[in-house]
Amino acid sequence: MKRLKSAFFAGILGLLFVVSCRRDDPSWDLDLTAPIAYGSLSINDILDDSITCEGADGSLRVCYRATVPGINADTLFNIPDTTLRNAYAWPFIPGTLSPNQTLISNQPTQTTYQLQSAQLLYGILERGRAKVHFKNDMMCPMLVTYVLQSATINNVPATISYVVPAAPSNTVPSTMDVELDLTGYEIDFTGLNGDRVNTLVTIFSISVDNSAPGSTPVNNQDSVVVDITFEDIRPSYVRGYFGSETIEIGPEETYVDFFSKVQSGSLGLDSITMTFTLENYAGIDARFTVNNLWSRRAATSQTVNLNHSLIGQPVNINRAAYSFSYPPSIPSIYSWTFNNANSNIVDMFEVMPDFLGYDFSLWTNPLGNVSGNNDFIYTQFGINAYIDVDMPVNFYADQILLVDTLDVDFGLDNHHDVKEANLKLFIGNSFPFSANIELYFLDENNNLLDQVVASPGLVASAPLTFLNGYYFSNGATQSLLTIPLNESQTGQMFHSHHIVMKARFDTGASTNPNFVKIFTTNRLDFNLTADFEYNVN
Amino acid sequence: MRKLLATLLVVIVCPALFAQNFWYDYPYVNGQMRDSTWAKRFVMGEGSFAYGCDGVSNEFMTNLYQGGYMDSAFMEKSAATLLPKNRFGVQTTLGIMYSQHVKDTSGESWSLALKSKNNITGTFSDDAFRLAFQGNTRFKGEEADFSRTRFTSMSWTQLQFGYTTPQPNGTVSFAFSLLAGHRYNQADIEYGKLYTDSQGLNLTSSVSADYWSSDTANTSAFALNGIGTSVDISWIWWDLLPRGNFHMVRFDLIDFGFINWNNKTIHQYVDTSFEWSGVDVTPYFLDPNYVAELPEENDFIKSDTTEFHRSIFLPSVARAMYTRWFCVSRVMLKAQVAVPMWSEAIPYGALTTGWRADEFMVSGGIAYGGYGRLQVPLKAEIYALRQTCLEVGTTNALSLFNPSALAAGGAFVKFSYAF
Repeated sequence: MKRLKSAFFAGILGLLFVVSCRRDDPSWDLDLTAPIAYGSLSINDILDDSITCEGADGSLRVCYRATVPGINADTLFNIPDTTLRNAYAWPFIPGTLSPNQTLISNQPTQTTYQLQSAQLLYGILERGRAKVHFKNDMMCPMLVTYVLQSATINNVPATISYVVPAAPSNTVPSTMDVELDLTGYEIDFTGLNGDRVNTLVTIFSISVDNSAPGSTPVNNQDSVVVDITFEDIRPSYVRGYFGSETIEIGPEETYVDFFSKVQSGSLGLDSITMTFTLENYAGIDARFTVNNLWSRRAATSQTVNLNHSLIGQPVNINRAAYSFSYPPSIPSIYSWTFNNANSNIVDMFEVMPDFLGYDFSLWTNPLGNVSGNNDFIYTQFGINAYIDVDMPVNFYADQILLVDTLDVDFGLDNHHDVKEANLKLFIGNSFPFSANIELYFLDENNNLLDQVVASPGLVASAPLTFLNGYYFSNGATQSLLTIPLNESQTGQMFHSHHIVMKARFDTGASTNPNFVKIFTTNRLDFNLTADFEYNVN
Repeated sequence: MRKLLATLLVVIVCPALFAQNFWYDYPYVNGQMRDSTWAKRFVMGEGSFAYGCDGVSNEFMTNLYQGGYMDSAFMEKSAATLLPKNRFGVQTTLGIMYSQHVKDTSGESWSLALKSKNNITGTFSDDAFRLAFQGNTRFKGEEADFSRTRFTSMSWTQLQFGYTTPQPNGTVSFAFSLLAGHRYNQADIEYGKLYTDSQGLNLTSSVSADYWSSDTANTSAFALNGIGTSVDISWIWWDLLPRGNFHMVRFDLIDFGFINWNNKTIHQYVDTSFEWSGVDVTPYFLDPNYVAELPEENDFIKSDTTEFHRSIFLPSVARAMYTRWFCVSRVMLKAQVAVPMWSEAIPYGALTTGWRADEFMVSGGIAYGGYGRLQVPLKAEIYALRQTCLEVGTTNALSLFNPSALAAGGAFVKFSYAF
């Protein structure tokens, strides 16, 4: 009987053991296939729409405008922030003040600005403000009136009139701050008698306010002070004589980005046209000199200066005229075109520059004040300058290397579960050139992760047709690039924070330097898929 | 006559367990031991587990259960036996029962039993298996169909009240159970297809699926998340034959009932079609700060979190059995057919034979159906002092000796004591 019971309990324990014993997790590998990314790349996707345009035959052109800082009112003159002080101080002998007693009545003051060689007669303010600080030592309220006689709007001068409260004690003055917006005011810079320039007229009055409580004792050196600060005075229109000065514009460089992704290689360009345009919207004569124009590629430290007859030769620029409409002036426009025939412009761009440089000189009123103080400038319409580049995308390329970097975050915390992987890049190419594609994986500090360099793979050129001296594509080719990654490389890929794509383009220039013509319809369609082994655990 | 009564004890009590409710589950209704004529009370205890799958091997099930790495060659071998539609089931039971005659040792009796049960059942297609265990690469250029994939897991405790009344040459037993539902999960992919492009350029999928779960905030082993009832009915008839032999016919309806899971039961569903071609990185070339948007789970999974009741039928069995004894009731032949309900299993049939000595009995046979295909059940029983019966066995001895045989296995032990 005992043996039977023992057997029974042994059986029960054995069953419990089987049911509840500790086990490992099962694991196995899945062979998964998944599309990762796709895209369609045309020149329009590499270059911003704003710098590309389409030719009459549908071919692609780069139409790029670089704006050069020109001449505006700030270049000619600058009205600095200025503080004027008007004050009244009681004489040495103590006395008393009565309500309505006048201390200063309509006292005019003329203040003349020093504005380089400019002689301003008249202006309209686009913006500006007068900040007024009152201080009153008197123990009675004072009525202070400040009239900016030179600034009017609808013929009414700007006026600041306030009752400054009485000082609370003999030793503590009362103060007050107010601000007046001068936007839209017309400024007469000719002074009280209309015979000056750059001059502002102000009128200052002080009296005891009628709310003062009878007779108020006043001591030696008690005063009333008004500080008025003109800030951020910016005219929208100014008339006068702007002086005869030489203004240097540059040397400066402006960044151009249409070759920014090219890292190496050489490029042959078919033709290029660059136009330099000067628009003078100011009522001022000038003599303009292009001292230099150049292109520079920083990576190779190559600089090519423009060779053209304009360089170093002064050009007289006539003043604009009033239009009495919009825009308010009729500009004098000058433009110079640089092309294959009259300059080395192609050389400038075959270095694939990332900077265009300029160095100009502008001599204002080279003949003096011939306008009789009737120079004018609308500050939004100064002397504008810009460079237009018109480049048909017809070229031959020898191992042109385009580099682009994608920031990635795979977001797979358990990337260790992914073992081997086989990346496949399917590419449909309708560009008339072949390309070698390489992928690199970088960590967050842009360090190359070893052993993760993808095998270089060739993307075949589209089928070509030769017509009128140009090769162009008449279809597309399909290419497959396979990138096998072992377990270590897969781990590196999932660790990467940046993927660098290098595409090396070649039109066969080394053996057949003919130009290819790019159309807006040319594309590189690609799909990236992955076959990978994923461990389920 | 004592030998005959002893035989009846063996016939009615022990083989019934062996017969299974297409595996082993024996209805705990009282009366099965009434032919221990001297005894008035009975105590029984049992523990068991059983599993089966008609699509994969024992070796696969064992590795999946015991853990460890399964390589691709093993997976390929395991997938070779898949059917277009496969079924699986796992069942564990622990229980005790007390039974007592009402008046004397030959009349009516009552019983009280307490059982804990876990049940996992499901169906899946061969494509679903290959997707889950081998991946979608093998489906390049093809459509993987994982429709009608279902997984149901339930655990509950059963308090069973039984009553048996003697009939001419037999008995009729009836039991009523109160059920406490603990955990319930069910995933039902009514429609699911995944197309993998021949070059992997895109994935296209359509899925219509539901998922239910009992209260996810109350997941302890004995959490009360549902209540239900079930009934068991057993009818037994036997007759004596010449030369000390007899035969018996038996019908059972086992665990016929349901559990009503409470209003904390959640429901989620997916009904969507989508195509994935990867991330479009074209805008990146113009804007390096461009961030590609990946689809979010919420874009295609709509969660219905409305609290509601859900009633689920228990896995039930209707069974018919005929047993014939020969050689002065020393040799047994038995045939049974079981029809499972609400359990994904197919009908189960078994032919068994056994040889009985005074103190023990061994039996074995062949069976087909349920969750498995060909099975070889074996059992040994030991009797002592007319009071005690210990039974141990396996639902499929093939699982012990042939790992590559299709999955079906299990073990059970039962102890009965009359006093």
